Amino acid sequence: MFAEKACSLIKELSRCEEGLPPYNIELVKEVCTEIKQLHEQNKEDGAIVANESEIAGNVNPLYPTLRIGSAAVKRNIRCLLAYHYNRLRTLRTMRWQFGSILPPDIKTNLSSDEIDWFSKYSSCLGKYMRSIGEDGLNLCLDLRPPKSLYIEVKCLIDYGKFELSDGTVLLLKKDSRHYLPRSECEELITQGVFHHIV
Amino acid sequence: MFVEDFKTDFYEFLAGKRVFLMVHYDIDSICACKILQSLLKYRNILYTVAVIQRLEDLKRAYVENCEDVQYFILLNCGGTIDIVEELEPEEEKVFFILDSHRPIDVCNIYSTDQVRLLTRPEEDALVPEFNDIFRDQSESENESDSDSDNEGRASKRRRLGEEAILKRRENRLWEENRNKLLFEYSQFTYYARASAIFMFEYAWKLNKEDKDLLWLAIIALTEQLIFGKIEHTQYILEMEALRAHCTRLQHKSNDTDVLTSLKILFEKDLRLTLYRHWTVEHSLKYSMFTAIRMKLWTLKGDKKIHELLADMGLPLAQSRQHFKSMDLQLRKEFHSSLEKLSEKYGLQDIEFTSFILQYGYQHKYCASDIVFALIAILEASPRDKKPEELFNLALDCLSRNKKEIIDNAIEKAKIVAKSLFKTVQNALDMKQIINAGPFVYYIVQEGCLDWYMFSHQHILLLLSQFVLKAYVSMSRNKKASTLPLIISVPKNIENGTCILIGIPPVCETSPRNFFGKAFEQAAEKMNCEANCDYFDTSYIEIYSKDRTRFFDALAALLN
Repeated sequence: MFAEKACSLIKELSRCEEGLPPYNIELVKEVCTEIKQLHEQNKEDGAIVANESEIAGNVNPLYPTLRIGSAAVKRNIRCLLAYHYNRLRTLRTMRWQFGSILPPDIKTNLSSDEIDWFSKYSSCLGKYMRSIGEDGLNLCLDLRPPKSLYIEVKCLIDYGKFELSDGTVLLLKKDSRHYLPRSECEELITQGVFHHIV
Repeated sequence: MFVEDFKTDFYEFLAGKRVFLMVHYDIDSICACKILQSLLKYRNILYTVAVIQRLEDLKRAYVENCEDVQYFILLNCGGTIDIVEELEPEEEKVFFILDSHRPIDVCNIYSTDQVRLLTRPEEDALVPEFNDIFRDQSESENESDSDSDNEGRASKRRRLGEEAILKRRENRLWEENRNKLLFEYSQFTYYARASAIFMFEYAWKLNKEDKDLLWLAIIALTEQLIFGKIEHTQYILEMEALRAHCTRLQHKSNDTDVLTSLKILFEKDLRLTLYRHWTVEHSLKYSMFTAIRMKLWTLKGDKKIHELLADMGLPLAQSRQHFKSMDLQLRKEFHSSLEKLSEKYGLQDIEFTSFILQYGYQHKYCASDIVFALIAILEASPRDKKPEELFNLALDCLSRNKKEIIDNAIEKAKIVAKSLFKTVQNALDMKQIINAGPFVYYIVQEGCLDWYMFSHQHILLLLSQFVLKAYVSMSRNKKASTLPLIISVPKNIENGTCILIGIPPVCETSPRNFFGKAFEQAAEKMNCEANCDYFDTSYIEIYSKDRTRFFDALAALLN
């Protein structure tokens, strides 16, 4: 059936809503060849129809075939667009979540064009953020307003000494609890040193 | 020195500073710590929490952090030792101490600035006057110098003036008086009001109390009752005060949604371990209270339980069901029918008043349930868990949304109750509780099944109370109720050390414990290596090979 492969492409994407599945280059290529084939077919059929319509005024039996062919092409194109657009959308939210450097396991799932797009988007965003205010503003922080400026955290490993931005020094030992400014902890939480206690 | 005004001298004082919390490893401290944490959060005071089990931990935590932190808060530790001497802190370090262990070291009381006690002095504590125990150092030093000079230079010929002799005599008298006062003051170790209750009252004064904090104070109080740390009258007094808070807070709040409302109910409870979460038969059998009153370790006692159940009209099949799955009618009547029969079976005072926390439909726990669950987490967990981990788990267990942690802990607590009972039964059957004259003792052998569990402070305390009461109820010796008990449990098999606990005799109504001093003196007398760095000095760690000699020394001392 026409457009079956394109449909499975979409299904594959929708199955993993959270992350990004690997860019399925083979299937995309197959869909493209299908489009090409259909296009060729349509062209041939179209030529026949055009020739015959000049001869006789009655309804040509090739009309439905022609219609279905062009509908399948359109559908294939729509599916491809949707596939790429949705991947880019996920990628954009990831830029806000993870910052300009993507985790390696996600990066391997991208196509080269997507990596290109990502770096361009990053630089655009970076440029915009630098232009706000006097010395820029990081819009990626605190996407949702924090409930409190300070949070309680549990230290997961023996980290050693850690200096806060105001100069005080902490000794971080495994399983010790600390109450610290949120901004200081964020980095260590993403590094897996701290666990946020809710 | 005692902190006079909590708000200005502690709370406002610490605002904007970084503090280091040292929390002792017990339930009261955990509750107090949780209340304090919520107070500190209101003022955005940065803190770090460390768990302290022994003096050694306290010292290590201090050394590791003294460079970076200026203010230390000690919960349930450090009050009974001379902080300045033990830690040798620099002048600008400040220690705030909230400790329910008594007696407080006099040096801490009379420290001018560095050590600040958050408790209030008890009226009956008989703290010696400052002038009776401290003197101007230079004065006495001069004298001792001149004394040694006198002796050193063969000045026997020189006649001492009458004045000097008088002065010396006065000195000697003063010293004798000092030693006597100090001995009287520190003779007994005991527990005062729970730290969590102090903390809750401070929160109340700061107008920052709520029902969650009240519940923590209730748990701390219940813990003191269950472990016999306070007298029953004191419990009732404290409980009435908390009850007043409870009604006040209940009226104050406006959460009417049944699903999310938090209710603390004041209710009568039974002295049966975890019966709401267990089967009636097991709970009756393994609770310390019923076991002792009905001598359940004997065959006769076993029959008595069935008799009691029959009298109550509780079918056996039902009594072996989980309490929650029993017939509604029987469940409702359980309380009253047990009360009615209590006289007949010698179970007077089986009821006591307590509190129940209800949150939504599912979460309904009695204060004593939580205490047993916490103790099971803290002391009956697998050996590979570190105390810090368990401490964090216990803190989690106290928050409302972690139901599965509580339920797991309750399952563990049942195992603890069973093994306590079985150990006592075993000890009685094998006649392992031995009378040594002025005291009785029981030695938990190394090969014993649950020795590791008993090497923890609180479970050991429960075991010792259970053993002593059971011994007294079985003994033909009329004096049995006047004998104190010592239990020895292996602590570290590789090093060959064991931990000893001493508890006062059954006939004593007050839980004041004299073993702290006795252990210290016995160890001194026989010159053995003893490790008494527990904050509760009625525990001591010695080498197992010294044990027999140690008991002999104790017997000689107590005779």
